[in-house]
Formats: sequence, C-alpha cells, structure tokens
Amino acid sequence: MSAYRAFGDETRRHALIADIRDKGPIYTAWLTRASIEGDISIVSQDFGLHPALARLLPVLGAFGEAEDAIPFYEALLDAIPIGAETGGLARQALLLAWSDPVYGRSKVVDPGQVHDACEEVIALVARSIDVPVDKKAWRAARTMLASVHSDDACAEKAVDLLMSLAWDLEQAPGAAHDVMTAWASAVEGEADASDEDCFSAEESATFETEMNKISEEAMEALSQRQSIESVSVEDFLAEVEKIWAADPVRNALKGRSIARRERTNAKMAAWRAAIQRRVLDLAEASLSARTASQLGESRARMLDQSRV
Amino acid sequence: MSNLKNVTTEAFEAEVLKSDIPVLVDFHAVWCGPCKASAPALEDAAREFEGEIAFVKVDVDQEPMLAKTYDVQGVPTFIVMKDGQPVERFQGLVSRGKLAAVLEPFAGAGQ
Repeated sequence: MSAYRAFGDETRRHALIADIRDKGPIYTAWLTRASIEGDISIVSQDFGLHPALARLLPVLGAFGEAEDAIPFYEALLDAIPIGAETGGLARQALLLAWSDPVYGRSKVVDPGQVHDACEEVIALVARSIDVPVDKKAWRAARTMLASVHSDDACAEKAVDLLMSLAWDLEQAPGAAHDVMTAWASAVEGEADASDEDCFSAEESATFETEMNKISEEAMEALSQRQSIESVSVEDFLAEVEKIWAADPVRNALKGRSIARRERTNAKMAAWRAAIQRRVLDLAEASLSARTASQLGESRARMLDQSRV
Repeated sequence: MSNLKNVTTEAFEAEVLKSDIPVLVDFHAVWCGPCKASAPALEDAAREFEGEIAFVKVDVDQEPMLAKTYDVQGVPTFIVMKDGQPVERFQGLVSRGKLAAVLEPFAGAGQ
C-alpha cells in the first residue's frame, strides 16, 4: 500500500477534471506523448494518484491522439473516492493485460512452462494488491520467465509484457507504462496481421522501396526550386503527395496501405474502449463514498460522447 | 540521485573495462528521443541491480572514439560488458522488461 491518497478534497478533483477537459497544462504533460520522457510527478504529489495509475492511463487515450478519451478520464476520476489508495486499481488494471477475456495475453500462450511462468508473475501482482511483495520474489519470477522460451512469436511478445509486469510498482511505477505499451503493440500487431488486405512480403518490400524513392525524388525536385534549408515539412509532404498521385500503380499501393492503417486504427479504438470500460468497472467496484447517481451521470456522459 | 554515471574516454578503463561487476553501457546522445524515453527504465533497472550490475552512459557526440571502438551505428545502443569484453548488445528504446530479460543472467554473479 502506498502513501498516495486520491485528491485530498473535491476541489482538487474538480481542478484536475477541469484541466483535462480544457486540455490544460497537466493534461498536456500527463496524458500526451510528452509524458513518455517527461516528469509527471505532479499527478501523484498534488492530486494523490498512484504513480503507476498515472503511468498506465496515457496509453488508454492513445497519448492524447484519441478524441474519445477525455470522457473516460473524467468518468474514472469521478469514480475514485476522495482519499482512496489507487495503487490497487493500477495493479488490477494491469492484470487485465493477461486476463481480459478478449484481449488478454493468456489466450496467446499455450499451456506449459511459459504459461506457468507467466502465471507466477500474475500471482505476485495479484498478491501485491494487498501485501508488499519483496524484491527476491519479483527477481525469482523474472528469472523463471527469462529461462523459458517459446517458438511462437506471439507468446514471446507476451513474455516480454509479463517481464515488464514483474516489477514492484512502488519502486518502479513506470513499469505500468511498459506493460500498457507492450499490450497496445501486441494488439496492433494482431490487428495488422488479421487485416483483410495484408501486403505480401513482396508488396511490403516494394512499398518500402517506393516510399524511400519518392522521398528522395521529392527532395530532389524541391532542391531544384528552392534551397534545402528553406524546405518546410509542409512543402515536403505536398511534393511527396504529388509524386504518389502521378503514378497510379504506386498510388494504388499507398491507397491500400492507408485503408489498412484506418482499419487497424479502428481495431485499436475498440481495444481502448473495451479496456476503458473494464478499468471504469474496477474503479466503480471500489466505490465507497460517492453516490450511484453521480457516477451514473458521468458514465452516461462518457458513453454519449464516445458515440459521437 | 541517479545511478547512471556519465563516463568519458579517460574514465572508461577504470569504470568499465576493469569493473569487478558487469557493466551496462548506454551509448546515447542528448538530441535522441528514444534515449530520453529509455532513461526512466534505465534508472529503475540501475536501482534494481545495484551492486550486481553497474550502469554507465557514454555521450557519443562527446566521446566519438568510444563510439567508434564499439562500432556504435545508432543511438541508443546498449552493450553489456563483462571482464572487459562486450557480451551482449541491443539497440533502440528499452522497457524494464527488456532490461530485465537481458540483465538477469548477468546479475546472479554479484549476489
């Protein structure tokens, strides 16, 4: 159990929600890509949220790039009682990476040594919700994981994720970020691989070669019209676009790539929405002081806005 | 306080080549985004393996000879040194999981 207690009072909670709604300075530092290499200790020091919870949440909003995330953040902060210890919620949320019935990694690891080693880690994380787990136990779990290997690429990725999960979140709360990014990456990989219009190996190689060629052609064309130093990103992208469009064969490949990216993005949005709901359920399950009607209102708001 | 020490070419022999314990050398650059993003994981790993594995940083722009000696083609590049010899290397943004997977086998000797 950590020393962090959520918010302190309603005023602090409202201030944090208002900042997120307005995409203010705390939102910008915390829930966007700036957080990856930045200091977000204000979220814990001033608002009492456990550092691991603070670190896992940006991924669930695609680091500010998903428009549907703000209602989720509001609903979640509303669901956390004043004074609550949120380290347990962070651990429960991270356990979803293994146990979620649709997206959890347990389904990609076949029964056997690797699965057992993963389950050891899961048991430790579950135990750490209630009692401190000592360093030796985490090390033993990691050593066991490091000693088992799978020939299956998906299972190996799951082991990498579990390796990030096998850390004491009181000492290394940033591990929560590692787990969530590994999970998002695995789900994205599956979405790409299961796409209805996958590139063949040959098409992938051709597309990459064409992209490189077009970048070079664009720079060459621009350098004949202006100095290299004066070329802006916008100039470059416009020139690249022009070259793609001029060649129907190459452009068809690009069109397919964009369509595939959009389908993958939609699958990632579905993953985020599902896990947001699960995290909200977990938070609400630990509710003690706030009324059901307040929660109902904020949840309804979240669902309404996510449908827009 | 950071457990990651910046090492110069002059100090490399004493801090790395003659170290009694394995050393993870982080070849980085101040302008490199993935280097900065890897820093918190490195700090956590340095604390976790304190006394078993040393962690040092080498700025490739300040110490080009070291970068050349170890054939560093991009940053971040991580090299595990043991008894003065490179025994493992990997490149790119690292997670705590990746660091643990690479370093656990070298950590036991120091315990």
